Amino acid sequence: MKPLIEDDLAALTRQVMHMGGLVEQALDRSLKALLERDRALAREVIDGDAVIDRLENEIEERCLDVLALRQPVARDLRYVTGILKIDSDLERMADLAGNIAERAEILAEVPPLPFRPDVTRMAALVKRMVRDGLDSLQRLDAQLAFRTWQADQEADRLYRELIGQAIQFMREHPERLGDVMHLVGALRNLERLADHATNIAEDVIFVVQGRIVRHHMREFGAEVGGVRPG
Amino acid sequence: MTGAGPIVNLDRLSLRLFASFAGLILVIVAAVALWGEIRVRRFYAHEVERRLEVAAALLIERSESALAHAGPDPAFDAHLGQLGRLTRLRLTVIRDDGVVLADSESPLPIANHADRPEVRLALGGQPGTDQRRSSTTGQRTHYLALPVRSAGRVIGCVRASAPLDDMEGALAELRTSLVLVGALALGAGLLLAGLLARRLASPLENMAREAEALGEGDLARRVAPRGPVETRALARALNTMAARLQQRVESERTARGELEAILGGMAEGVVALDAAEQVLLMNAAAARLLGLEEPLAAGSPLWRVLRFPELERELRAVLARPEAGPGTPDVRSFDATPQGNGRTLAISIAPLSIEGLETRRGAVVLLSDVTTTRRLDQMRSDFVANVSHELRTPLTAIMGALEILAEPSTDEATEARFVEIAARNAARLKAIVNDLLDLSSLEAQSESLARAPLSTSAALRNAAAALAGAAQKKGVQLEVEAPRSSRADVLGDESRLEQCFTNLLANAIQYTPAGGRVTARARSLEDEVEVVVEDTGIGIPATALPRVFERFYRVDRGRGRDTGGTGLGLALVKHIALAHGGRVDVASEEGHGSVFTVRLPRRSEA
Repeated sequence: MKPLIEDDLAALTRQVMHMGGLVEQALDRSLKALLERDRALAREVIDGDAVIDRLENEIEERCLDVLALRQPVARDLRYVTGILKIDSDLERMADLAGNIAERAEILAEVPPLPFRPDVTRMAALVKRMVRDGLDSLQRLDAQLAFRTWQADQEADRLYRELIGQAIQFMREHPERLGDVMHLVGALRNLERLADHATNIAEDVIFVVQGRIVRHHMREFGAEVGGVRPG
Repeated sequence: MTGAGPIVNLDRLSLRLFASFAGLILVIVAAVALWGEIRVRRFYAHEVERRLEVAAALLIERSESALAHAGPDPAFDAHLGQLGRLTRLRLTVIRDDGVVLADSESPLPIANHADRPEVRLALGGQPGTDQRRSSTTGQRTHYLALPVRSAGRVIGCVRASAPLDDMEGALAELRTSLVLVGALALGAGLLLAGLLARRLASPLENMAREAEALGEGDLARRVAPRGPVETRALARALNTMAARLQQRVESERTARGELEAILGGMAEGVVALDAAEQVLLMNAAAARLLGLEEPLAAGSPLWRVLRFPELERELRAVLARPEAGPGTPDVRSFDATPQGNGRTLAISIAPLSIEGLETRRGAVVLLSDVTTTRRLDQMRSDFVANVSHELRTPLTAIMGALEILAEPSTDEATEARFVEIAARNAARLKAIVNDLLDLSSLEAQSESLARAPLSTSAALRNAAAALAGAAQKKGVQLEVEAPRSSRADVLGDESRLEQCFTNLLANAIQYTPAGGRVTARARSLEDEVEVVVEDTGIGIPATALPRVFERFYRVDRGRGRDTGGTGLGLALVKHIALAHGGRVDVASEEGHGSVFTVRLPRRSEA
C-alpha cells in the first residue's frame, strides 16, 4: 500500500510533539534548578540540549521531504510550513532554557536573592504558556492559541516588574550586582521563551484559519475574543 | 427492520404461484378451445353436408323432368320453393350449359353458374362441394352439387347450399363461454395463489423478522415453530443458534465487564498500545496519572494528546525491539514525572503480543503513583543524614573546646569561655536527643498520654510567657488573644500541649525579623478548639509547605540552625497534635508570613 500524506503528517506531528515535550521538560527543569538552587538539575538541562538540536534537523528534513515528495495543498501545506517555523522556535526555546540553566548553576552558588515569589509566578506563567502553545498545536485549537498569545502581556508585565525590583535591590546592595545580573539574564531568557510561545500560537492560528495573524493579533482577537471554546 | 421486506417477499411468492397457475390455465383453455373448434367445425360441416346430400338426392328425380322440358315450369318452381323452405336450404337446378333453371330463393334470371367449382365438378359427372361466400346472398355458404343423368348423359345438376352462419354463431358462443371459464379459472388461481403464498410465506416472514431482531442484538427473541415441517425445522435451528449466541455474548459481556471493573478499580494506571502507539485500552487511573481529562478511546494515538518524552522514548524502545521470546518478558521500568501535575510515577513497559486474526505487537504500560513512597524514602535517608549532621555539629564544638581546655597553657578567661561553649553545645545535644526521644515515644505511642481536662488558653498563655523574653530580645511583638476564663476545654497532657504551643511560638519568633509581630489566638469552635499562631515573618515557599513538619527539614539549609532550633520543633507539634486526636495545618505566603493552625477535639461537657 502506498503511504499516504496523512501518515507522513502524523509522523511529523509525533516527532514535533516529542520535541515539544523535551523542550517543556527542559524549561521545567531549568526553572526548578533556578528556584530550588539545584546545580545537578541545571547541568542535566545543559547536557540535554544536543538531543533537541538533532531533533530540529530531523524535523526540518522531514518537512522538506513532505513538501518535495507529496506537494501538499491547502491546510496540509500550511501545517507543514507551520511546523517548519515552530521547529525553529522550539529549538530556540531549548537554547533559552539551557541559558536559564547556566544562570541557575551560577546562582545556586551565591546567597539566595529575595525575588523568589515573583520569579515563581513568572516561571509558572511561562510554563503555562509553553504548555498551552503546544497543546493548541496538538489539538489545532485556535482559541487556546489566542489565549496563549494574550498571556504574553502578563508575562511582559511581570518581567518589567521584576526588573524594577532588581534595579531597586542593586541600588541598595551594590555588592550583589553581579548576582542580580545573572538573575536578570535568566529572566530575560524566560521572557523571550514566552515570546517564542506566542510565535507558536500565531503559527497554530495560521495553520487552523489560513490567516497570517502575526502582527495583526489584536484584530484577530476582536473577532474571536467573544467566542468561548465549546 | 426494513418493513417492506417481508411484504415484497410475499408478493413475489404469490406472484410466482399465480404466474404458474395462469400459465397452466391458459394452456388448458387454449387447448380446449382449439380442440372444440376443430371438433365443432368438423361435426357441423358433416351434418350440413348430410342434409345437403339428402336434399339434393331428393331433388334429382324431380328435376329430371324439369331439365328435360327445358322450359319454365311454375309447378316445379313452387315445389322447389316449398322444399327449400322445409329443409331451410337453398336449392338450385342448373342446366348442363350453366344456365340456372330454378332457384328456391332468388327469382330468375340468375347469372350463369357454369364457372362455380361445385357445378363444374357435377357437370363433369362427379358430386362437387365447395365453401365460399355467396355472390347472391353474401353469406359464407356450403355448396353441394350432384349431376342429374338422363339415359347415361349428364343433363344438368342440382345444387343444395346452406349458410354456415349458424356454425359461426355456435362457435362464437363456444368461444365466449371458454373465455368466461378461463377468466373464472384465472381469478380462482389468483385467489389460491395468494392463499397458498400467505400460508407458505407467513412463517418465513415471521422467522425473517425474528432473525432480524436477533441480528440487531435482541438475543432473547425466539421463533415460534409454525407452518410445514420444513419451516418448523428452520425455526428450531434458528432458536438453537440464538440461544448459543446469547450464551456466548453474555459470557463475553461478563468477562469484559469483570475486566473493566478490575481495570477501573485499580489504583495503578494501565495503558495498552499497539505498534502505532494507538490506545487499545486505558483505564481511568492511567488518565488521571497522566493528567488527561478522561481515558483515551481505543484507536486514538497517544502522541496526539500527551507530551511525555521519557515515556515516549522507552515505549519506542520496547516497540522497536524484535519479538521477545515467550518467558522472557522484557520489561523496562523507570520513574518519571509527567508535565503539569508534578507526581512521580513508577512506569513499567512490557511488550505485548496480541493474538487475533494476525498477531499484532504492542506494549502495555503500567503506571503507579510513587510520589509518597519516593518522598518517604527521601525522608528516611534525609533523616539519617540530618541526625548525623545535627549531632555532629555540637559534638565538634564540644570536642574542639575540650581540646583547647586540655592544653596546659590556657588562661582562665579562655578556659571559662570554652567551658561555656562545651556546656552550651552539650545542652543543645541534649535538646536534640530529648526531642528525638519525645518524637519517637509519641510516634510509638509507648508513652500513654496523660488525659486530664485542661485549658488550651492557659497552656497557650504559659507558652507565651515562657517566650516573652526571647521575643523581646529579638524585637518581635508577641500578642496572645485568648479568653481569660481558663475553662478546661480539652483532654490532654498539659506539658505536651505547652511544648506544642511553645514550639509553634518559638518557630514564629525565629522566622520573624525584628519589628515583626507574632499573634497567638485560641478560640472554641463547635466541636474543636483552635489555636492559631500567625506571624509577619519571611514565610514559606509553596513547594516547601508540605514538608515543614518533617524532621530536620529546613526550607533553606543554614537558615534556622544558627538561631538555635533543633529542626524538630514542628515535627513535635505535628505529633503532639496527632496524639491528641487533632491536626495541624499551615498556610503561608512567601515574604508575608505564615499561619499555623492547631485543632484539637473539644472536651464534651459532661
